[in-house]
Amino acid sequence: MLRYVIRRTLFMVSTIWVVVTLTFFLLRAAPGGPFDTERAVSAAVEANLRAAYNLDAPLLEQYGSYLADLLRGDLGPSYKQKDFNVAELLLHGLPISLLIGGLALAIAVVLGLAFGATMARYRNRIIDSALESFVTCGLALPPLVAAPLLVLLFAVVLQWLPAGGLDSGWHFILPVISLCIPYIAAFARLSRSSCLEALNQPFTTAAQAKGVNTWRLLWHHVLPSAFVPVLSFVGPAAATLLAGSMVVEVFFAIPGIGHYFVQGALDRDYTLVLGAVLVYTSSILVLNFIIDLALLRLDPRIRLT
Amino acid sequence: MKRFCHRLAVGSVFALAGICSAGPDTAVLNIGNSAEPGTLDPHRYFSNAEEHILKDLFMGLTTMGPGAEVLPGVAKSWEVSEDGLQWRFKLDPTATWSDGHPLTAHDFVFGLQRHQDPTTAAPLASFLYCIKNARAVNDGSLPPSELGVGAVDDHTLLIELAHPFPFLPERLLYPIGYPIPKHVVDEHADQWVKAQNWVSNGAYVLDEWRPREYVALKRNEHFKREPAAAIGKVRYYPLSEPATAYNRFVAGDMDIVHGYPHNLIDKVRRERPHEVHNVPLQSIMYLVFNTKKAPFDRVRVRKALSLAIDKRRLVESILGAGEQASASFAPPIVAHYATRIAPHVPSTKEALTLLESAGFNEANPLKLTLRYISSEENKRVYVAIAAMWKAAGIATTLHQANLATHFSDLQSGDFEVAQAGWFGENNPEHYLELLWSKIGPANYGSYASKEFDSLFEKARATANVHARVATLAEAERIALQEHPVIPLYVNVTLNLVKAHVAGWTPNGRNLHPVRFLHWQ
Repeated sequence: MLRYVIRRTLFMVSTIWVVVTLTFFLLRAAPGGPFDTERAVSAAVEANLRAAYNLDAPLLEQYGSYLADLLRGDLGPSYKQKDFNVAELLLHGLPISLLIGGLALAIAVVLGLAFGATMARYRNRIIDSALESFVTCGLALPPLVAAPLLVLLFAVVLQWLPAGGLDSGWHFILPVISLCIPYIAAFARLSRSSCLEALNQPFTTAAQAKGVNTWRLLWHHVLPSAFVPVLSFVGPAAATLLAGSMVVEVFFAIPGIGHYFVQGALDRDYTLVLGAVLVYTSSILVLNFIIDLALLRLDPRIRLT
Repeated sequence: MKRFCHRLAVGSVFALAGICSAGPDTAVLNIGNSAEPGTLDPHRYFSNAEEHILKDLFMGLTTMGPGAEVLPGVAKSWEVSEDGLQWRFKLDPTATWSDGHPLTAHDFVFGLQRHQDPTTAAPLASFLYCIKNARAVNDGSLPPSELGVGAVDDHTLLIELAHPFPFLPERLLYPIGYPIPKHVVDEHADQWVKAQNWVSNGAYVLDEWRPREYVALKRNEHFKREPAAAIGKVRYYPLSEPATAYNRFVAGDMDIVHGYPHNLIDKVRRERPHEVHNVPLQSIMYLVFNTKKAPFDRVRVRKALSLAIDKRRLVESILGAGEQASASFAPPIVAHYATRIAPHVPSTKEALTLLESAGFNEANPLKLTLRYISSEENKRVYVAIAAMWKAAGIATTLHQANLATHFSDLQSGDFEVAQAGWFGENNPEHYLELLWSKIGPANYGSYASKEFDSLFEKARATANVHARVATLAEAERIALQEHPVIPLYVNVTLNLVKAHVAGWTPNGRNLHPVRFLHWQ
């Protein structure tokens, strides 16, 4: 087990290094720079700006000093949000993204499992068809579509909920719903097929033969078994949800970190994008590792390789 | 599994209930700003979103009235030498910083020197190159102490200019002219901009800045000017997406927003006639030709492209928010300026004749790429222009890019015809200098005309504002005969202000100091 943990840790560190290196050079290859704006600056001003951010050094030297700073835990200054460094910005945004993403994930897992189990229980009956229709609609409703529709209905027309911002708990409701709808649908589909597979296993037939009632059978025997493939999907889903959604954050004016991926790239704020990529990559790797360990514990058939 | 599910469900409910407990603070004026400010350091400032906040936090030698007019600020009065090179500002002896520390001429000297110091890396340093030695200080050839500014005594500031610049009081409205608390910068260095260290001299001080959430200001109790701030607390929210700004205004979250979707103009005017404030913005939207690239190095080709555009149709049918078609490059709304440019009369027929004489015809049509910045509004405008050009037999390829890439291409000369825009001051020189061959990369099309340069430089050497503006008008006439740019239209402000906010004065600078606002 220890050897497995060490090997996975080394794999994670090397993956992070590769991703950071690729991102560093790809960003520099993109046209434009952090100081290209509608007000063209004079040559002297541009030289001062480049010197202030060490952008006048050779590229390899910049890469070396970035890696050296990274090893010391310094993610560098933001070129666009000059009064904060990248670590301050990410530390401010990360809890918000974690809270919104965590709530969306929790709701998606709970509702997805419940819908999936119910659909499997009532396979090919009207409840199954009704939920299947909901699931299909959910899959077709990415946040880009769901968010404006929800705001139009609940904030503008009915005025029950706020249209954006984070001033109170009510402000979290619409962004969380926008984020979790497609994931509820995905978890429901996955858990339905897993439940159906588990229902055909000999142990469920044996339990039915012993007279276990249907809901108890589902809750105690089918769902734990069906949860294993669902859990495999929780890792990447969690990384995507927890690292924030650009669409939802911009639409609801939420200061999470998802915005930094796209806006940082558009602004050529190199260090900010690198910091966001670092958080996202680390989240995926660490969450996948945790999920693998959890699967190992849940399913005795899985072996360390 | 059962226990896990139970904990997950209970945890979610508690998390949601906990964050639902806060309520809105109704005493706060909530303003939707167009973007997240990049900095609150006046010398490192660059964008309009920052200027909106900084004008409430600081007061310069001059200050802005409710209609964006130039008023005495910390300087109670000023005198200019006959040659227009020496400006002597008499400061208010009672002026203080928000920590009660006296504000003296030495703070302004420190601020202006810091702004030109190359280590500050001020993006708008060139805006004050009119000060003696500023350019040399900024490029590191001279130390900051050589800048042409000095404190005659604690309450008298002397600014020496490199050339006459009668628009200096207006130029000093920009945050780059604000004083900086030297005693705080000395103590906290770059961290002086943090809320816990904050000291400024405006009607408000920084209370809290939550990145991409809001910037909160509170009244500066040491601010002695009239009118004092009637509204105690202000929050600026970064709402870069116009649809979000509009939704939050309609939902009642925002009292003021500086933008809403352009395609909602008719609806907004119909449903919110007392809240909508669209007035012409001191700005010019234009097309720029790369005059170094054939065939756009030929005047007749540029003129043909200009004649083929029906600007009135553009502003009335395509835009329709109150934009004004412009024949002149200096916006027709700027003060004391009588342009000598004749009104634009579109003529597809004349355009065809000119193109024919330049060797373009049906068999050999003029083909060009028109670059613009990605946005829905721009898409409509530039598709319409391409259609107008098509009627004159011109084949246009539209190329859109984000702002950084667009201006990078323009500055490197990698374009044929491109969208550009300029806004800000209430004088023609601010706009016409973009056609001066010595201005640098802001002259995107690399236009160079000896006659224009000579007239522009003559204007720059003239201290008398009326004579200066008259020379500028002649320079503009000379330049636009060669069509290095096609002025399109004067943009418009898209503000929404709740009826319970009084004191709002629409103005062409689109800046509204909060100290002039009050609750209805």
